[in-house]
Amino acid sequence: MEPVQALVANIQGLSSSGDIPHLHALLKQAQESLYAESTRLLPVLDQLDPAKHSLGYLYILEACSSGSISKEQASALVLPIARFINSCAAEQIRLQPDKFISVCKRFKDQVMLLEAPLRGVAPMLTAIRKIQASSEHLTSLHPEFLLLCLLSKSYKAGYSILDEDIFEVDQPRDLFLYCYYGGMICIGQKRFRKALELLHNVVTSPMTVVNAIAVEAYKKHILVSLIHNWNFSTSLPKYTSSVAQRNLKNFSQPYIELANCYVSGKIVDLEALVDKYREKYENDNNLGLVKQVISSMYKRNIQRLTQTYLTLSLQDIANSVQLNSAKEAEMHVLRMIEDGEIFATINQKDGMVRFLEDPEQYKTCHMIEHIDSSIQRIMALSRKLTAIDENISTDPLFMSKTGRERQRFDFDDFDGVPQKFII
Amino acid sequence: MSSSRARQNKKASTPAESQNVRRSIAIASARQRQFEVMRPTAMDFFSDMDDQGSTMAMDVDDVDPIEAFGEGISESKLAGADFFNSFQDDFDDTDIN
Repeated sequence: MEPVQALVANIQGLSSSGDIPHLHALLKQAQESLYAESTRLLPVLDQLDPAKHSLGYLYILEACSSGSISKEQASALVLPIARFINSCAAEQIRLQPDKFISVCKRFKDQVMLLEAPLRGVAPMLTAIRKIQASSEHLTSLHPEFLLLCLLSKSYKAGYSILDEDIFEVDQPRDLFLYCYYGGMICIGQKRFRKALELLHNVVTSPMTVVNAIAVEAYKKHILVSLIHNWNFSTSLPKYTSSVAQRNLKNFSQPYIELANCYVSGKIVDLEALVDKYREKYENDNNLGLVKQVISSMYKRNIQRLTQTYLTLSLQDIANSVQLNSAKEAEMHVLRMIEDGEIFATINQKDGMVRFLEDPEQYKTCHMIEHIDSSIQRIMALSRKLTAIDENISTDPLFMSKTGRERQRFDFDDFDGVPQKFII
Repeated sequence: MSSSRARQNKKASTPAESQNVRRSIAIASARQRQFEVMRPTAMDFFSDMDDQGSTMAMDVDDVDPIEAFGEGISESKLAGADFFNSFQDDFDDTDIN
């Protein structure tokens, strides 16, 4: 342990004097000896301050937590790692981002092993903020954080990072998982529009082989589309990869059939289909969403009535959409009015529902602010897209590839009329 | 082609002329090669128009090993299938109500 003690002394001394580059070089050299002593390093951390000696603390912590650990070891490590994440100096840990990410991922594994995902939510969010270059940067810790939020049902905490526009991604897999887990977070909060946007990103992201994450995202995309939009289109946008275009539907047949049956508007047929594929939906952990799809069909059928009738009795509504009673119809209509899905009034005296036009005139201050902020956002995105296009156009790798694919001689290098023409 | 051959046979007397000759030879050779490449296209012009391929670059994704084996692949063997997806909450509203 003598070399370790010498290293600790260096960490304390060089951190105090601010000679971090020298310290960094020493730590890299001591890497192997730290791993060799990994089982006895934990007490050494008590000699260091995670805030002042962050880089050295990180190296030792990373060595401590390497390899497989038991539940008892996980229990001993979780608190020091959480404290380190909360108090470490961002400028020091950014010198070794891969180690910091590695420690945080192990931290996630440990809280999951202890079946206490909630303990990891706040520290993981702090870790993201410390390692991110900017709010536009998607790190490998984003999906880990969302995973912990899903496991602990902390949907509000998870949603806090989903509003940020992402322009920089470390690994493609991070983006797939971020959008998939993010879509689930939004489903949990019933923010179906945002969920569709995130799941759509997974399905349409570039891929050269069929991706399991994209398959699961596509299934949920179908269900959420039925719940929120009351319809689903099987055709994917043109910018979807050909691999996804050809293969995703093959892995989602029970969901495609559900969507096709939904269009008919018949509850009985839909429920029969759900019974047929119940086991499949359960195995995919999608049965809850499928039940929401069935519930949404009542809403869809009620909404379609508004396109035909000006007034209708609650009993007629119940008969039309196959509800059990006028009371049930009243409950559905009330909920739809509260959610802004239809505009109507209910006369409880005679049990009549009057369907109204959308009262929105689009001339309130709130609406003008909303439109203005949308325009500003689109302009900012347009500027961003232009900048990205310029960066790619001047990227040496891109230029060398397009240079190789171009012909060596342009059309102008050749005579306009061939000197010899053979049929 | 005869004009390029005439340019090949002319002797150069100065270094600049030599360079010009070499450049002319290179361009003429390229034209020859390009025209040779173009000939099949010229002939194809008179063949069955239905055989004309798309002008779009071939999509490398068209080579799909999964479809090549007919039956398809199980979901567990897809790329990235080891991601965590076992959540207790399946968003069943009836659990809440």
